Amino acid sequence: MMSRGQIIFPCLIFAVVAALLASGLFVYRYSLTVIGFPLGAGVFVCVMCLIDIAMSLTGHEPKPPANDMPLEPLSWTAVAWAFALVPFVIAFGFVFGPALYLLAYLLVNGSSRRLSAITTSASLLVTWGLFIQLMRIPMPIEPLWW
Amino acid sequence: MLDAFLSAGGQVFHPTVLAAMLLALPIGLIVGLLPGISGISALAFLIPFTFGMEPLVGLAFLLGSYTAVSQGGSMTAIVLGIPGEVPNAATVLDGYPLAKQGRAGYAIGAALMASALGGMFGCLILILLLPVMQPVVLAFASPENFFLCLAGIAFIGVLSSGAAVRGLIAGGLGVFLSLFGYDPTEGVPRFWFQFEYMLDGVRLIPLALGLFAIPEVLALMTSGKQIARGDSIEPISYRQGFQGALAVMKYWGTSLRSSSLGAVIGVMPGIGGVTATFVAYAMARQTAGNPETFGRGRIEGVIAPEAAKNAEEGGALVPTLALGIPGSSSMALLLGGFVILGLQPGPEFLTKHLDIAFALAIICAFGNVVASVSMFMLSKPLMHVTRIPGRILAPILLVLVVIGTYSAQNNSYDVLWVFIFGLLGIAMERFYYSRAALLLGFVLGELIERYFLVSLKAHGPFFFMRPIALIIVALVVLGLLWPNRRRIIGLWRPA
Repeated sequence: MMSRGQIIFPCLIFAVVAALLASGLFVYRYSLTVIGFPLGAGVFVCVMCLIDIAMSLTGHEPKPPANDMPLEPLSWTAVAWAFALVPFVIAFGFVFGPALYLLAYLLVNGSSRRLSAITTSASLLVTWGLFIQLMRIPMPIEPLWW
Repeated sequence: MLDAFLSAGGQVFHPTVLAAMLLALPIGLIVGLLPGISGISALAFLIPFTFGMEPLVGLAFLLGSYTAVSQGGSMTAIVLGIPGEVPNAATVLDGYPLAKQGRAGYAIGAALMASALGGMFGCLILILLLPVMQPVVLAFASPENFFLCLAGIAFIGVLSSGAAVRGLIAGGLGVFLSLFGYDPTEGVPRFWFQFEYMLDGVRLIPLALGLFAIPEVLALMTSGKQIARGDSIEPISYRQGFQGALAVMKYWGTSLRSSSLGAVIGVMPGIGGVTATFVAYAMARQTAGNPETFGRGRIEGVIAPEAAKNAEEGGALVPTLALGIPGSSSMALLLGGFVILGLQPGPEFLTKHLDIAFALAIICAFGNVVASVSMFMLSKPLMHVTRIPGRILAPILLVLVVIGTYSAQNNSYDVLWVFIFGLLGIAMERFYYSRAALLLGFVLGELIERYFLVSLKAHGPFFFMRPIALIIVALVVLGLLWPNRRRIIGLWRPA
C-alpha cells in the first residue's frame, strides 16, 4: 500500500528546490552564468519529482524487492536521543558533552553503572587525549554558548 | 631506468626506511577507523615529525600512514555501516548488509585482499607510466575531464536500478547541492542567505556521514539489538576472512576492471576517490549477473570499490610526481611534505630523482600489503563489534561520528548539518531513493560545472570535438549498453 511519505517526500524536495531557484532568480537576481547550472539541475530535479509523484498517485511507485529485509519503523524516543547529543555538545563542549551524553544514555537505557562509567572515561580519553592532545585538533573544551 | 628501479628497491628495504613506514602504519590504521577523519588528517598530523628526516625516510613515514588509512575506513564501512573516509561509502552498500547477515569476516577478507591487490596494481601503473606520463596527463585538459565526470554521472542510473526516477532525483539533488557557495567563474556566492558557513557551499563529510551513518545509528538505537542478526550467523573466525580473500580470486575480472578504472581516475588530477569507488561499484553491478541483488550483500559490491580506491591512490601519485600537480587535497599536502624534505616534484624531479619516484611506488605497494595484513590480524576483534547490543554501540558510534565530523574542518556547524543530512538519509533509505547516487552527483556536480565553463571559454562551443573526449563518450556508451548487448545485436540480425 502506498504510504503518504511516498508523496510527501518528493513534494518536499520539489518545494525546497523550487524555492531556492526562485530566490536565486527573483530575489538575488543572479546572472545566467551564475545560476545556469543550478537552474538546469534544479529544473531537472523538479520535473523528476513531478513524474515520481504522478507515478505514486497512479500506483506505479517502486516496491521493495520481495526478499529484502524490511526496515523497522524508527522510534521517536531513539530519534530524540540521537538529536539530544547536539544540546549536550552545545551545553558542555566537545569533550565533556559527549561523555555526559554517553553516561546519561547508557544509564537511562539500562546499562550497568560500571559499563557506563568505563564508556564515559573512554570517551574523555579519546576526545581529550587522542583528538586534542595527540592529534592537536582544536576542539572546544568549553561550552559552545560560552 | 632498470638501474633506477633496482636502486629504489635497495633504498626501500633499508632498515631505517622500513622502520619509518612500520611506525606510521598503526597511526594510519587508527585514523582510518575514526569516521570522518581522512588520510589528509593523518598526513597533517605526521608532517611536523618529518623535519630533519632523510627525504626517503620522511616520505616512507608519510606514505606508510596514508596507505593504511583507507584500510581502516573499509573496516568501519563493513562492520558498522559508517564510512571511515568518504570513498568508503561505496563499500557500505554491500559490505554492511553482509555484516548484518553475520558475514562481516567474509566481507573484510574480500575488502582487504581487493585493497592490497588494487593498491599494488595502482603502484605498478605508477611505475610503468612515470617515465612516459607527462604527455598523457597533459592530453587530458578541461574537455576530457568534463566528459570523464559526465561518464561518472551516467552511472547514476545504474546505481539506482529498480527505482530509476528516484535515482535520478537523488543524483540531480546531489548535483544541485554541490552548486551552493562560490560560483567557479565569477566568484559570486550562490544560495548562501547571508550565512557565512554557506559561502563554501555544502560540505562533503557532513553529507556523507549524515546520509550513511545517522540512519544506521538510529536503526541500532531503535532496535537495541546487535548488528549481526541474520538467521545463519556464522561464528567469528579468520576462516571467513580467508574465504573472502579467495572470493577476490574468483571474481578476478571485477577486481582487475575496478583496479584499472581506479588507476585511470587517479591519474586525472582533481576527479578523486569517491568517483572511482562509486563508478567501479556501478560497473560491477552493470557487468554482473542478477544486478538486482546488489545492495543486499553481494561480494563483488565490496571488491569493486575497494580495488578501485587503492588503485586510485597509486594513480593519484602520477600527476603529483610527474607534473607537480596534486590530484587531490591529500596529494597537495604530500606535495608540501616533499618541499619540507627538500624535494620539488615535477618533470625535473623525474630526471633527477627517478629512483626516489620508483621507491615511493614500491613503498605504496608494500604499505598496502602490510596494512592489509595488519588489518586482517585486527579483523577478529573488530568482527565482535557486530555482536555488541545496539543500545550500547549506537550512542558510542554517534559520538564518534559527531567528533569525526567536527575534526574534519574544525567547524561546529558541520555537526548540525550531519543531523540535517541524517534526516534526509533516513527518508531516502525508507522511500528507496539511492543515497549513493546523491553522493556521486554531489561529488561530480561542481566538477562538471567548472570543467564545462572552462572548456567553453578556452575551446569554444565545439570543445567536445577532441579525439580523447569522443573516445570517452564512446566507452561510456559501450559500458552502459554492455549488459543489453545480446538484445541489441539481435535487433541488427535479420529475422
